[in-house]
Amino acid sequence: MSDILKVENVTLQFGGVKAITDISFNVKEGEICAVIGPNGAGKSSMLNVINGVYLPQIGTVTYDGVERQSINPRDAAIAGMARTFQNIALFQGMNVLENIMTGRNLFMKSTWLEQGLNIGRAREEERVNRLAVEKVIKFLQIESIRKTPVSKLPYGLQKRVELGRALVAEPKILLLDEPMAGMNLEEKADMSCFILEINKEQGITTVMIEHDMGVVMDISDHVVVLDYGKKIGDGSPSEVMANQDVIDAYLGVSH
Amino acid sequence: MATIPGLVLSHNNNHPDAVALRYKQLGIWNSYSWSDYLAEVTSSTNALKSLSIGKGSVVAVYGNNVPKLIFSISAIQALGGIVVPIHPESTSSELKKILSDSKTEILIAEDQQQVDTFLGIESECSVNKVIYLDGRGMATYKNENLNSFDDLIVKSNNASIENDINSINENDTAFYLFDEHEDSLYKVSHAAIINNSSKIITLNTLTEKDSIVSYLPLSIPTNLLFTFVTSLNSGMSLNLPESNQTIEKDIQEIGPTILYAPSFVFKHIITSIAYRIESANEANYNRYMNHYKSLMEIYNKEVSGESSLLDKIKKSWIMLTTFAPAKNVFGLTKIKHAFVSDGVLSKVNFDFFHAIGVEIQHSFGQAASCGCISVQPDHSVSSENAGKAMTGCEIKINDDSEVCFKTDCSAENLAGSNNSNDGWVNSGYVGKLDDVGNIVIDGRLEDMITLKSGKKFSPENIENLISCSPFVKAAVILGNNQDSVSAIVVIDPNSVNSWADRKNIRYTGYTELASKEEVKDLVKEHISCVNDSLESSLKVKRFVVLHRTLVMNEGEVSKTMEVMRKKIAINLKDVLTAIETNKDNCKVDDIDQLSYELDINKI
Repeated sequence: MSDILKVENVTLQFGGVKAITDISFNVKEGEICAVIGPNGAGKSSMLNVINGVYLPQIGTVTYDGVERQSINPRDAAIAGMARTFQNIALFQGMNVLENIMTGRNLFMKSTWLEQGLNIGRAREEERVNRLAVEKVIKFLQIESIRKTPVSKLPYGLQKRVELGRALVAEPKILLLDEPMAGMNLEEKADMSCFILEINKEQGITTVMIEHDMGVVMDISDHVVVLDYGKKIGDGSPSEVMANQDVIDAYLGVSH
Repeated sequence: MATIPGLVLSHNNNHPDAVALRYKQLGIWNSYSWSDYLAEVTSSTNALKSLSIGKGSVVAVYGNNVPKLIFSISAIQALGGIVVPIHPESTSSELKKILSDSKTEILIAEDQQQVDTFLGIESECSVNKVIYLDGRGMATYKNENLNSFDDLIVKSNNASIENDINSINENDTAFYLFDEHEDSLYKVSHAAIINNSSKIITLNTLTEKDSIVSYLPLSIPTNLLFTFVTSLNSGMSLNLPESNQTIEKDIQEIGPTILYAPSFVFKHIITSIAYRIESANEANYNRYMNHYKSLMEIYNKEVSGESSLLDKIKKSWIMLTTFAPAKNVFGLTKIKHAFVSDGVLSKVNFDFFHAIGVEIQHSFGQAASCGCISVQPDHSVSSENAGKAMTGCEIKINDDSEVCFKTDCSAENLAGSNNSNDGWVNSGYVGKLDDVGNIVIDGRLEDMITLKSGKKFSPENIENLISCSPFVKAAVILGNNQDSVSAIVVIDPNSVNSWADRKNIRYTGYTELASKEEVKDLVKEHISCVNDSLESSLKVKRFVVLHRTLVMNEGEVSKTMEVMRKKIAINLKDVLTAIETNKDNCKVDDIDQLSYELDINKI
């Protein structure tokens, strides 16, 4: 399968701090790629470089055959990248349906006036977009909390809503920043099932940052390991597990 | 000449545009008219024809109430097949028993959960084809006996099935129904179950303008009779909820005029009100409590015919400000008849529903009697009985106090061991007939408890009294060969959570909450109240607050939430032994492979 995403020699610096140093890796179309590493390894920064939140000083990101050094996050979304965040970034006062609806933003062409008065294109758009949202609500099995404000939901469900918002954008590639953080075993199992289904049945390429090694080794096809901003491992889960540098980074090494 | 598919056909001829079925999907209620209903049955029938289903073929439908599964019931029967409804949460051993006893050839499963359960026992039964409705999660399954229903429908033609329907006979077998308590299957003909539903329709003057929600699986015989068959027979609309998690909201949106539910559902409504009230602010909490007290006082006066005009005005005010909105939340505003099966409501709960204008009508029946032999008439104010025998039914009590019945709508035990003589069937329940011929059910015969003193009693009455508290989810009474009666109490997580929050009690989860002294005191106080109404030999002397709820998947409660004693005696044998040997506490090695310490409390 061809590579949908190529990260080449990317270096990202904040003043004197090097967050990422000369990192390259490829993500094949249709795979689940996990980016792992200890805290501060530069994983979230890497995701932010991919979807254009950060501009790397050196290096390029090739996505869907187009090479570029920078991309505007909105353009990234138009090009089919959707993401979730490490710290939940939902609209706390809005309900689940409304939050997920915001993920359809790119599909709405009508003006605010049409939308306000519910006339013209706005009506049809509302219907089509609501249908797309409802399909995702069914997929994620959150019908019963459709009208519940997200601030009232437990953490695990909020994560699920966030995944829903990314999914309704009909992405080609999903960037998930710690989708299982803070979840209990049951919630992790549910989330793993959803991620696998999204990948295997809908064919959406997934790049995820995750700390739970059990989950990473179980569901990913490809693992990239970062430590102190450098890549120390890249390969299948079993290859990475046998890699001495990775073992040292996780378990420490005697000096 | 009425058959299940024949009823669909006749509704289509008489009023093709009336609403037959509503189903919430993707957040929107979709309606099927009778002509749509027939069209769906037609396409399903043609699809099933390609699997060579014919007269006498046994086909199981395994899942929740989704339209395709409902349509396929009529489709199977239109081809002369026999339908075996199976509960979606059936354990694999139960599934195996039903499939092999019924000699099921084809299984129609709702989704991956059911398919997976079946695949675990595939080699042990005679099913040769599985058809699934929702293929989600099964893209990688390689089993060649698996087929998607949609694929079959696409491949089939759309020929009329009128001739097929007309060629089946009303005395043909329509269903094999599984009775969980008897652990056996019953053979039910079209005529028997339709006639039985006609009796209910006539008794309660149900019309095609009524609507009913079917939210429990049709494998429950009483549910099959009261919702599916009765709606088809009377022409009323059948409403199906979106998912098991949205039932409450969906019932509220539909506002049905007829409600059928096993007693646990009404108990759940009481509990839901309780935990909402427990978490309400002080002013609302006090208002509710005062209004509840006044309402029950007025209701008692009404029953004894002593209510004054002032009471009527006061009641209207209470209803308007407190209970009408509460009724609306649970979709009870338009209810004309609320049928209860599988147990009776305790007097407190029964009176409460009557006071707010929800006319509860107890009924009694099981698979052997096609779901019902007696039902209380409208405006009945006694919580104890389950009504008189319906026309065509006779009830008598034998020497063992067991209820025996004879009905013109009977079902035959598939194993042939129908314990009947001269048409009389032993129900397996203990009970009595009151002065006017109402049947009063005490409990199951096999559950009867005999104390050391020789005193014999049915544990269900006491369990009912204990579990009428909104804080108690279930209770199991013990006492065989004991000096006194003991109870295992399962607290309700929702209402006790709210209560604990209100009392500022800190806890991390259910197990810790159940072990709190305050919770034990709460339970103790309630049991003491219950004891006041019991004769001295039956007073509950000791109790255990269980560290978990009873699990349906383990068979500890039935599909209608009745306590299954045999299984509990196995799973909680440590608790039972400790109580029998008069210990003060016990160590339980539980089904989750963990150990728990439980106190045995004295009252």
